[in-house]
Amino acid sequence: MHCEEKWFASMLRCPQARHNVGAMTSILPAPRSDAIWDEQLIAALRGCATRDPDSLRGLYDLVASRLLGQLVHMLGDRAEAEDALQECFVRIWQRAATFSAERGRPYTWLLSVVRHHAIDRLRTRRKSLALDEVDESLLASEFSGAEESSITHAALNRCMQALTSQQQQCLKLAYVTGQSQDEIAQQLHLPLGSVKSWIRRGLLSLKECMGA
Amino acid sequence: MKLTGKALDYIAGAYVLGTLPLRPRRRFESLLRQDLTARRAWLQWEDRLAGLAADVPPVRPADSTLPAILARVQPRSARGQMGPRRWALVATLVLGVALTLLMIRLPQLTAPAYAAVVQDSSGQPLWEISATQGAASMSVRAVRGGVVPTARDYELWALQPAGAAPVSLGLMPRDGSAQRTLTEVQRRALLAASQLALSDEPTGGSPTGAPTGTVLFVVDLKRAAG
Repeated sequence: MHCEEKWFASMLRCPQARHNVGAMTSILPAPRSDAIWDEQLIAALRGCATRDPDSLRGLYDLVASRLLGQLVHMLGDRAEAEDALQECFVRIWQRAATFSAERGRPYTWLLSVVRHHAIDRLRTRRKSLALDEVDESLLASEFSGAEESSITHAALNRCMQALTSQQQQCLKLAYVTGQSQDEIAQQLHLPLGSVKSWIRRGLLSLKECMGA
Repeated sequence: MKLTGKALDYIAGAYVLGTLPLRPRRRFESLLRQDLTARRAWLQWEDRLAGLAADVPPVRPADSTLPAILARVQPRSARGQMGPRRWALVATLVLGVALTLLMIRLPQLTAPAYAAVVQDSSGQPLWEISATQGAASMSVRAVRGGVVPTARDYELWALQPAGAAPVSLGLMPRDGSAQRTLTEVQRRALLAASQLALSDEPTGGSPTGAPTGTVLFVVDLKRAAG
């Protein structure tokens, strides 16, 4: 079966696929509403902000496996992922004072530290990639203002399912694996322009669905 | 660069998704340092998309990873596993250095000068902060103007050890330099701090005496050489 023919089924079988991203119906589990988990993370982060090493140990016990799983998934190399995990925990220690529980869930903050570090590593590996002129031109565009809202995983699940299957697949691959648009296009044997379009429309549709 | 509305939504979403190419990615990170609207859009996307990683399987780290992290964040304690003979050697050396310093009567046995630089994500300096010997006075120089949004102020804080509340060191200048004499509370706080933070506050600074807005920067406070 060619990867272009049946995009979803083929993605799981396609030999070029680096990662099995799972079925779209199961990738978005029920929202994690564990208030105790959040409280533990917030307490550990506050302890890190006051330079308490026991808090860092506690935070590590709570999240290191999950964060390392994300790093392994994105970097595709266990040794580099372990090295990245060290770097991320040093950054978390240094930046713990910047976390504000009023502005988001603690695990989201931790995950963002880890994902952006992994993305930086991936992009540094691939410096030779050509710049995306569409993205560049958008940096100078002028539109109206943005709104603030409280977002849940349930809303993400609902709004993801409202996207086209191609949009879902591209967004999921980009977020979970850290692949560039070029790499996603190559993996799925699809035109780069289509992948860019699906990602852009998918993001804006998600914003429209979840942002209000 | 001004970025709003749908363009901001898309760029912030692509940044969080990881599909923004390297140069726009760096430019957006630079924007995040200066533009609260962009920062808000970014945080909203982090919230929106976090659920996409929920089913990534965990991986147990190697046993050596946590000790390596602790050694990096607390290098002195990590080196603390020394036998009594090495401790005796260190104590002798420390005593010798102390006696030497006393004998030659160095004029500066009090606290050394302190310095910190606030940089944007590309490493370009935004403010330079320095304090005199003993932290009696402090100077803050805006290397680049126009960073602080209108109708807002950025407030400088000395982060305190052992869970003590941060102490305000005043507002950051929008441009030019500001020289200020520190109160005794500020002086002690600065001497005790190893890091400084900048928070986003209403005009005139925090109304509560504690940071009320987003902490935008945390920088290490270094002892200046000599």
